[in-house]
Amino acid sequence: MTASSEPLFFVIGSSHKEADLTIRETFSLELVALKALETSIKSLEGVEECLALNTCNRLEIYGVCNDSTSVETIYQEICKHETIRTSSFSEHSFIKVKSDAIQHTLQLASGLASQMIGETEILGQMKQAFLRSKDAGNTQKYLNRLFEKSFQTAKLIRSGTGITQGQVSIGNIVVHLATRIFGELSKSRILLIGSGDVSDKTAQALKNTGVKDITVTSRSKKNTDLMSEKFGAAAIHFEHLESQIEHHDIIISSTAAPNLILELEPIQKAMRNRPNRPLFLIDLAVPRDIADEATLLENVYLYNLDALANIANENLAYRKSEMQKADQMIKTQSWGIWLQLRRRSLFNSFQ
Amino acid sequence: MALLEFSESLLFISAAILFVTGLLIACVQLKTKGQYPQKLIYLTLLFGFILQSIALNIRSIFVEGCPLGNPFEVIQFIVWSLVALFLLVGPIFKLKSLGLFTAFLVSIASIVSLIIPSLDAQYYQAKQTTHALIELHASLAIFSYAVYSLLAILSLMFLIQQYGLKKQLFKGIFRHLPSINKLDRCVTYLIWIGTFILLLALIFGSLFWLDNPDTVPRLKLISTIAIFIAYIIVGALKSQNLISPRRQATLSIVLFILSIASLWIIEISRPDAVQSVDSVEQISEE
Repeated sequence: MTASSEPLFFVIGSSHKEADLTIRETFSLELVALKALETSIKSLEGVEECLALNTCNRLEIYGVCNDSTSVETIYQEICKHETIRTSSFSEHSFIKVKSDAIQHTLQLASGLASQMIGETEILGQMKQAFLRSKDAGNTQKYLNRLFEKSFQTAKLIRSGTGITQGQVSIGNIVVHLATRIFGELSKSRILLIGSGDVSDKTAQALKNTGVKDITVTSRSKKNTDLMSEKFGAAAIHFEHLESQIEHHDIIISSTAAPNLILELEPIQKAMRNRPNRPLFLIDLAVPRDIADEATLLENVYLYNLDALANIANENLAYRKSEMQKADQMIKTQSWGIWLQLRRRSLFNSFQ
Repeated sequence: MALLEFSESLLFISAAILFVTGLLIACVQLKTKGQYPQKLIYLTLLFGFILQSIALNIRSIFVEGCPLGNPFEVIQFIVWSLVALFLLVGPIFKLKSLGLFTAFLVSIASIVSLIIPSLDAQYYQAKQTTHALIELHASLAIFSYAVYSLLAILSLMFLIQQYGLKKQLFKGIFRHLPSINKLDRCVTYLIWIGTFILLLALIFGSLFWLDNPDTVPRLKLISTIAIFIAYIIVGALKSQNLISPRRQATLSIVLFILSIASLWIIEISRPDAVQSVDSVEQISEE
């Protein structure tokens, strides 16, 4: 690279910010296609380095080019590429260059550009993509430096801010609440009433913490058997539900019943038989399955979908407040990287 | 002697500063970073404890016995015992945020004892009360009050955690508190541990009082036995499932306040002749 061909960082891509799920599905690439795209962009005149990243939320091409080509030309080439349906990509994409491209890379690695702010999965995906491209010889000193620095920055952001703190999924929130009530969950007994996507995930999240004793019940026998098989759980008849309350610590209800499944009276009766043991009730059904008055009972903790969603949003608000702090740190870092790479480029040109 | 007296005061003040510093740093970190600095709290309490131990030792040289002669000494001794308990029990019970609450209580108690000079009234400890049995009784009784202090802290933590769960609060201190199940268990254990230590204190005290019936301070005896019985009743009601964990925690805090108030009443009504340290020195010289 000569003095006249100063390195120009660019990122061309599309993410959840530019395209919704149905559009993003159209440029979700297989690994072979992704490699082909990366190689063909790298082979373009003026492109010195290239890395393609494809996750469920984004397709992004990182690169370094010199003055002999323009980013616009590269963008047109990408849009025309056989692996991408140009019509949707060209309409829902972005181009970032120079320090903006560096800043975007750092933001992405830190989870700031993610749909779920602060999530850490993206860092692993970036590391994988980087290793693959590096092994293929598509990245060299500039992108290597940028990605290594972005991984360091991600660590710095995560340790220096509260961006990763707080649970977001309902399952994680329930696990956290259950831990605040029972501490160690492995000995807790769970009763799952009815099935649904959220309740299944919640039960799975609890199971992942070491809960072994799960019992299931549903209004239909077929459903009960299916749930029993799915969770490796014991099954009880729906008619015996009320008498079983006192034997369980956590009850997750998610039926499509139009009326209450658990009235106040059977819960009161159950609590008389276990006055010193807390009961955690999770009502994930709409309309609700559990009598709201249960929350007034001593040692009963009732959370419905609204309450859990409020907690999830509280955490999101907290993460967003931490974003400002993280953004400032990223600006400082990206400026440092930009200067460092500029110095390197000038030094090379003198040589 | 003046140098010792000065270094004693300085050590008490330094210990209090350490407790307050640890508490403030922990609160700031919790507020700004949402992180609980467990090691920092433990270290500040440990170093504060060391300084306070030296200070109490110096004080024991002055008073020629266990320094429990005035409200200042009683508060400092309870604080010292409470921190000792935390340093021992903390790592075993593994209760999150216990250090923070302990630091809060010992900071308040230390500040109160230091900013009210009248609490450190000079006194003369009569030779007859420096009997080994009565000193053992006093030390055990104060240690039981330290256990009850820890019990009150855990009860407060329980009530805060339960309030957060009932009101569906997720952020802030609630995230750093132990589970209500664990807190409830610890509260129940500590009621019986504190009561057992107080029982020992009463046994050793009664061994001395049997030989010296005229020296029995009635108000002190009655209030101590009343507190002792009250804790037994709370423990028994809980073990029979007649009161809820919340009620047990509330009663533990109420009883703790009453027991501290009773100590105060005992100190106020103490019949001992109040004399200056100078006169103590004169007596010791004789």
